[in-house]
Amino acid sequence: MIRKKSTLLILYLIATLVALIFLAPFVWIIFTSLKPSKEVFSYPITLFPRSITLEHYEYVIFKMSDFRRYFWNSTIITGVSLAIIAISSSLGGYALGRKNFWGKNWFIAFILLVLAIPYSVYLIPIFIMETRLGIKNSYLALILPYVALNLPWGLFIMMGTFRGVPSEIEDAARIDGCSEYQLWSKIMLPLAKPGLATTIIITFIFIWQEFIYAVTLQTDARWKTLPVGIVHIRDELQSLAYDNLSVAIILSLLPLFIVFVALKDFFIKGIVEGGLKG
Amino acid sequence: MISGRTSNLRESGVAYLFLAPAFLFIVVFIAYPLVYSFYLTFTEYDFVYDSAPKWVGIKQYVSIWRDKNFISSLKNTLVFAVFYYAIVMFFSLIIAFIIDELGKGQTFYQLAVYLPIIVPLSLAGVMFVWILDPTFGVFNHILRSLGFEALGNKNWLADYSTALPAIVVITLWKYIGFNVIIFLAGIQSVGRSVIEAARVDGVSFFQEKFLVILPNIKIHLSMASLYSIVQAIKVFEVPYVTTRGGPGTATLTLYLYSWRTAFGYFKMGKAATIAYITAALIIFFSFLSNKFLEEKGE
Repeated sequence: MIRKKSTLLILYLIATLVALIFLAPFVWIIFTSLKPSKEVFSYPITLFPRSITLEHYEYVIFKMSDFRRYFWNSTIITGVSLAIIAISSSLGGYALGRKNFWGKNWFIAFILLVLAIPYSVYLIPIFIMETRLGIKNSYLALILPYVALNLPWGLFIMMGTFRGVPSEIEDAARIDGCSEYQLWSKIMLPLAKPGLATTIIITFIFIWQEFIYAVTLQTDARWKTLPVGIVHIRDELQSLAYDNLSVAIILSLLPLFIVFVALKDFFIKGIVEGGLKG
Repeated sequence: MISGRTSNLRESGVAYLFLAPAFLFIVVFIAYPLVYSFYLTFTEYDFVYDSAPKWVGIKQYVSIWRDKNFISSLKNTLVFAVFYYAIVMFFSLIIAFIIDELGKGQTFYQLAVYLPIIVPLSLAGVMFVWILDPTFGVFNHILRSLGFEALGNKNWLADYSTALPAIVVITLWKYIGFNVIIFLAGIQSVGRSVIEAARVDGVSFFQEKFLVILPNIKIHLSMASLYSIVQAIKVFEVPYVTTRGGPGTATLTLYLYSWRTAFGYFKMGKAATIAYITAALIIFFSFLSNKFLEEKGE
């Protein structure tokens, strides 16, 4: 049964209005980034850019060395964390999904609890620990906690993925004389690729956005990541430098945007399945 | 397939080896900190002056209630949470219902609502400080051009009565899409035959949504509810970036206050206590939400 034309029209109208509201902040930031500085701070303001310039993009990309530094820091920290999470969650998820061992249910219950507890509870001890070890203001300062904090998600997703592999495949491989390691690397892991992709995308989006740990553990400007660095730039300038800031925001969202649009379905799968199991 | 004690032991051994890297990270950076910060709640520990935490029993849990800033941050967090939770659950459900009905262009509408998910909360804060700027911001400009002169000159983030609502709105913008994802997955998992049958019986649009679909997506409701509770109580980045907790203590939240106590004043015992109270709130409300939605399900 199909809805009446008039009902559908109303639904489209509401949906369009909603979409506009959600997109408006992005549009405004893009407009700001393209206006000449004089126009950005003219009063009354102009909604649409009267003239378009790329000078702010040029400035941020080629002259703002802080921004490049933050981008680089975010890239390294996110990249290394993702690699470690991918490896350890596909190893650990395999154990949780396909093996029986003492303490398994306790471990699963514990990582479930972790998902509900706010990150700040761990932050104070980690700050104390990293101060004592002298690893604050380094790549390691964020990589280590980021791996730990995102592992519960990865473990859940990978556990579910490995559990879904039919046991006939495992039995056949054993009869063929596969060792445990071969079974995992040659048979199981290739079958778990979709789960691994989900894990990597979800954790990429979380880590690239992370703020609290980054603002606490990287007090030296040299080591800041984008979400903290851009706030730092704003505070340093102490003025309305929103023309350049808009560019910095757009450029730092770009990797997230590309990954999200290209691989949206993996992200959705991770959110829904991660939650269903939890 | 495998039976007997030795093969069980062997299987366990293999499992432990596979789990070891993840286990190590979780023990050192989650389990140990969880226990250590619980210990800290029973101590006084000035990180700058004291060489070690000083055991004081439950003193922190008692004296915290005489701290005016703590009371305001508790109040602000609860007010924020109630409004945020009610609005995010209601609107994301309605938006999911509407998007589900659309044929052509559904992907576009989904993407529009999901897109703010990729914006870090801190940068959402920076964006909205600009959007809400009293003079050069687009929001007030639109209000003024619509004829709302008085509203169009307001400094939303600096005004005592509008700062907290403004932070609610920014957080909603970021997270509504998150719930829409979950609700859409739920709605689309309800069998078409159930809906068709109801339509043959002649139910209205709202009856179909709230009486036919809603009872069938209990799991998704409770999932979205849990995510929203966590989001509603751990408010940090947006006030940190936009208002610094001000004006006065109008937007000081528990999370922000705990953070400032730890890393501004270095009072680790007190900060850990506030963090644990915040965690307890989240767990309490999650429990409540689970109970409520479960009972409704039976």
